[in-house]
Amino acid sequence: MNSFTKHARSLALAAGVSLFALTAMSTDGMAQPETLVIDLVNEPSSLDPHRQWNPDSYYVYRNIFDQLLTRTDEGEIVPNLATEWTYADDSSVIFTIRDDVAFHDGEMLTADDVVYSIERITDPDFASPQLGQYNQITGAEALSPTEVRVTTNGPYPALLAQLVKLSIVPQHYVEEVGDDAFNQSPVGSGPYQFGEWDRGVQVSVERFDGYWGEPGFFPRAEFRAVPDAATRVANLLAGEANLIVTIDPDLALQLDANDGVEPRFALTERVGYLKLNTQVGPTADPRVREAIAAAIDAQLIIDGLLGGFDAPTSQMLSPAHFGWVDGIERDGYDIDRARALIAEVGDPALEPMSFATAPVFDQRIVQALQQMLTEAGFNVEIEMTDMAAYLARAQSEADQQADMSFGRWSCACQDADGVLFPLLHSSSNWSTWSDDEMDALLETARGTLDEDERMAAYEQVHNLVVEQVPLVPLYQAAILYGVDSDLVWQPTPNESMFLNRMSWAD
Amino acid sequence: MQAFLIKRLIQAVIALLGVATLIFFIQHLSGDPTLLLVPEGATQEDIDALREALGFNRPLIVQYLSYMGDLLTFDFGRSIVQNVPVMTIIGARVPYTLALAGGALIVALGIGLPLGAIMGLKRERWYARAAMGVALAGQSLPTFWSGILLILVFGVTLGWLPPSGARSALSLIMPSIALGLLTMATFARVARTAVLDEIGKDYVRTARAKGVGTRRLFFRHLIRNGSIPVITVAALEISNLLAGAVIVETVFAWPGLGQAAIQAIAARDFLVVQAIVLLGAFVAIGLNLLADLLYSVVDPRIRLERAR
Repeated sequence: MNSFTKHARSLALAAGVSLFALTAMSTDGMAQPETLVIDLVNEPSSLDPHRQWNPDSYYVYRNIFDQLLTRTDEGEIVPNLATEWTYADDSSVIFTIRDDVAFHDGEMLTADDVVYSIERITDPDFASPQLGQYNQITGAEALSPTEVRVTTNGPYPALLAQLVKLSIVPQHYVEEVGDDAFNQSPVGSGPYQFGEWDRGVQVSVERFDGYWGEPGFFPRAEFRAVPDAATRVANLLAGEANLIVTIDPDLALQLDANDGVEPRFALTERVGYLKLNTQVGPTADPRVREAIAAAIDAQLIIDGLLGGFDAPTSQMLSPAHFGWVDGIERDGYDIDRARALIAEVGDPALEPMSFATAPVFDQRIVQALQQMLTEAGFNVEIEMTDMAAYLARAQSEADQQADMSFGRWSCACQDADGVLFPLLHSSSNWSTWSDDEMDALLETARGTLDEDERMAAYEQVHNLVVEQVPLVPLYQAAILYGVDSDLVWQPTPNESMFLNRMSWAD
Repeated sequence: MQAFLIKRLIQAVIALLGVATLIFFIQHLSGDPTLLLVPEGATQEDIDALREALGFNRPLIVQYLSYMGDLLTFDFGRSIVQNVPVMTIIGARVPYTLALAGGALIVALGIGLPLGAIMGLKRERWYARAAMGVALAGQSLPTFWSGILLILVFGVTLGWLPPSGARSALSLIMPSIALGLLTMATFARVARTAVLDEIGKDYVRTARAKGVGTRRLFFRHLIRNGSIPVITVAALEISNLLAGAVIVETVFAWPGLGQAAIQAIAARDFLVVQAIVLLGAFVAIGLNLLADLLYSVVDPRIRLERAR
């Protein structure tokens, strides 16, 4: 959407919101509805939790299914279906499974279902898009009806963080009805059971009364597909929706001005960053990279464009990640230093540089970055392609890649290994950085279960990034929701949406 | 008549195969969707494995022949994103798209034609001129703006209509108006021109001389004789309505084909996009054929045999 449309719509919305405020409609005193209505962007791509992993899908299916482990709202990994786990050796973990868990069809969940789920999602023939998150798992076997051994390809410290997302499906049901029927009418063991899928319109779920854990507050919930953010806001204002996802800061500020609704946000594990081509072009010179980092005022972007919700960061992680090190600092915005460095490098620094981006990113940020770099004296040309082409280029050989590219990275695992290894290890298709010291540190951190050793390695990685600038971390991205003020619910960094952690305020 | 029909049907099939070929290559030449499906940080091996499982590693010509082969047996394939047959997705969306196109056509014809007739019959009056201004304003307002205003006024502030979605028949009213306004002005202009064309003809003067009143003249003669251009334009405009529905369906969260197309294009869900484009081409070709057939019904002087 270009900026004119955006502004025209903001104006329309502002006019409407003022109208709304004038009429001073109030929902106070009305009975609180028993059905919670959540407006998503699109309908889920699939409800089979081993297929798609996009937010619109997992917002829904993570309520229908349980996982071995889960995260508290504070981000700590805690027992869920697994009550405890012990490392048999560096590359195998034995999980003890609850014996009181029933699927929605009444069958009991056993270790066999856990084994089946792990084998299903890691089966290459099943072709799960999520396979990349579980490719370190080499096997799973049931030791007893309540014990499962999971083996990995060597020590794998991020295993527990990855298992938080692996939903356990009922073997008997999936085998009986087949993958397609399971996708369209899933049966799990979660706090809510599948209700109805009105394709293109909504998916409804109903509270499962036989749930072993914390029961849901709402008897029923509906997840609707509402692609337009301004329409989602209108639905919230009209009381047609109780919770809406993905709004921009302008809309959030407008919600603030209304009674009965409010914006809520969480700082996610997603980090906005500028990746630099360290092998080809002007950015192969470390002084150019340093000048680029000095020319960027990330705080200005956050305050001026992002509504102040996001947080600046000097490392390619958020505090929600394992591997975040307090106190990593890089020299801040200093345009004089940037100019001095450019003068030192001379003509090569003034060569035109390509800046890759895709429509899914906020183009205002990309343009602001371009302007900041231009002000320092660089010659930056924005090259926009669609997302698939952008990704293909970001993973090609260094001489095919752009000189710089804007991105927002999330491994959805809250572990530094899922961020730093792909972006900075020389073997990775995402990286143009090739440095023996960096490779050794990343391999050390990946290859040990010793947390202190891992943290020490990551601290050195962060410092190397500050010194040599293979990329410039910009900000920790916020996710903004609009909610009915009476809804008790706290958004989390991993963008989960567990219905059994929501209720109406008294 | 029969020869005409057979010839047109053969032309239609060739056109559809051409569209299928074109959309196939346009989509595949810009890369494949594997990278959109894998998580960030996926290794090259993971990506290659998924690409192979989805069949995108085969030579393009093999993929094309396999696709066309399936198409000839009316197999539209499966969505790689949603893992359901493409026909399941399309089938769920078509009723909504038809309802919206119908609603919009009612708005456009119901307001546009009378407006145009008045502008033609009473073209010297101030209100005829004003009417054109109103029609043009309706056409000029961008839907993403007028749509959201409609939602805020009638859905939020007044609370008369559901702001969005497809829960009841009431949900159809606002999107129909937003979409119908886009084509209303076209119908008004065509109707006005048609009336003006006819009104200068000899039979009208004769009728007038015989004392036929404006009302009778209009309903007995002008409507029938003026309807040929209206039918032609309607056939074209229905295709336009389907295209304009993309924005309206997005703003109003109306679960029609336009919305599905946008999602499928963004996700590079090739087979879904291809099926929707083919359906659109089929509708456009079908409507034009229908318009040709209607001419001979409305005006027996038009002989289809002679149409080349």
